[in-house]
Amino acid sequence: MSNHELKGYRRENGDVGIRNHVVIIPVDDISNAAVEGVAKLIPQTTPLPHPYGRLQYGEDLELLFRTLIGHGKNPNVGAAIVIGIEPNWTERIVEGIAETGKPVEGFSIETHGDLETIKEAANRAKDFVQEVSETPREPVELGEMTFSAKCGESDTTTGLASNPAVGVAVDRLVEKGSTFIIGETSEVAGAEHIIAEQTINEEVKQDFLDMYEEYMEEIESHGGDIHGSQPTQGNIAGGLSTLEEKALGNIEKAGTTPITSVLDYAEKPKQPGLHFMKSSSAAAEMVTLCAAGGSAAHLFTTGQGNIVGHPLLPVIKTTANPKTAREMKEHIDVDISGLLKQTMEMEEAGDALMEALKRTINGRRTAAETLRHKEFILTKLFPSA
Amino acid sequence: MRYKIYIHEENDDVGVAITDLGEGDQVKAKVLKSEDTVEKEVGVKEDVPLTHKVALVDMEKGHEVIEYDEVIGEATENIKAGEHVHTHNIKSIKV
Repeated sequence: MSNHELKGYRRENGDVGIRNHVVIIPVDDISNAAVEGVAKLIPQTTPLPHPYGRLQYGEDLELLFRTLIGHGKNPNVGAAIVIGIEPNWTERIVEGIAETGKPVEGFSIETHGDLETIKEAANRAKDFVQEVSETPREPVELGEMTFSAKCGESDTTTGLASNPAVGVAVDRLVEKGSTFIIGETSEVAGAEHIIAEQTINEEVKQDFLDMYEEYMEEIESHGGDIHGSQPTQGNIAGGLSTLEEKALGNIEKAGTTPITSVLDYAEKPKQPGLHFMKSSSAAAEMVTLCAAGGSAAHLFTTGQGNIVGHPLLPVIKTTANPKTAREMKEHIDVDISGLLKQTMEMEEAGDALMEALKRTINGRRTAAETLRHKEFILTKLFPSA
Repeated sequence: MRYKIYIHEENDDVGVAITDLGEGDQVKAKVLKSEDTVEKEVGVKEDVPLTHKVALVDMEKGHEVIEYDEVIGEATENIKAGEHVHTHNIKSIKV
């Protein structure tokens, strides 16, 4: 493995990022047009259009704020513009992001209209783009950063090879002091007892079991049958037969490191180490929640070929399935199918992932970034009022 | 390729085909999570595609099927060593 000097963006609050986006965040659905207008005028910005933000309430509204503020706070963001229809919610998001010390400004459309808002916000976005273009890339350490992982379109190669390889990387990163987020609550079903045993103490174990049971009851209360949806058709085509088998493969990526806390949706970890975030197993939703939790880079294993990306969070994709590595080559950053072809050992696969992570930190574009996969998908807890 | 099946743990009832297997193939399987190299011989009784499972032992209907040294489901019919193991002959037991 080459010995990279890592360079990243050290933010005022100490967080370390690997990209330097000027993000434009709509507070609500009807502000998407203004957000996209600004992004069209100032193309080096990153707009995050989404379909929600009106008449949400309670926990669902809190999650919207946490997710939008979390994206502004994400260390891969250098500056943020927030646009909403009215000033109150807009200002709440601006204030949340401003805690990091990074440049942020809000604009509200009422009493101005789209065109004037676009003009004002574009002027500010232009200043921000110029300002962040001078942010230096400084030497940084892996131990200063937050990462995350998830698997998608899993098959038996995920549990045999690619998830254990991520487990090797997780163990190495946590040993260096990094913060690491995993999750996918419904996909540990069938192996939840093993995750429970991996927690650092009784309190965290109880937190995990409470969260897990509540999540599964919630699914059932809406008529959801986890057995009806897991394993998915893609999983079954890949040879996974039962929920338990899928879950046992899924949790291989937790490595052997103790889980130090259970996070709420989109919550930022409070200390280094491995964390389990309450989250859907739907790829784009889970990756979006990790971005809100402050992840700077995401390791994504796939069996049959999930292609997800995110606007701010580089998603590094790896597969151990030789067929997927061949047929979906343009989506795969790290081909570790050598594990199945017996030309690669597990530690070497861990090395390959670490190498790809370091190159991504130093600026190499991931396949998902290059192919314009910018899935920004909010988790919605219940209907709006 | 020396091995054509990987097995997670030594006591597992099933292994995973790491290449397409054909009826009548006599292949070597490797146990992944063991200190020493543990090999098994498997006579493949029907075609098993890459990434699908092969029975390593005979299992009766109702048998709890072990993979990762954990129960992954139960046999819904009698399964012979070397046969394809999937949704047609095992099912989840979690409710």
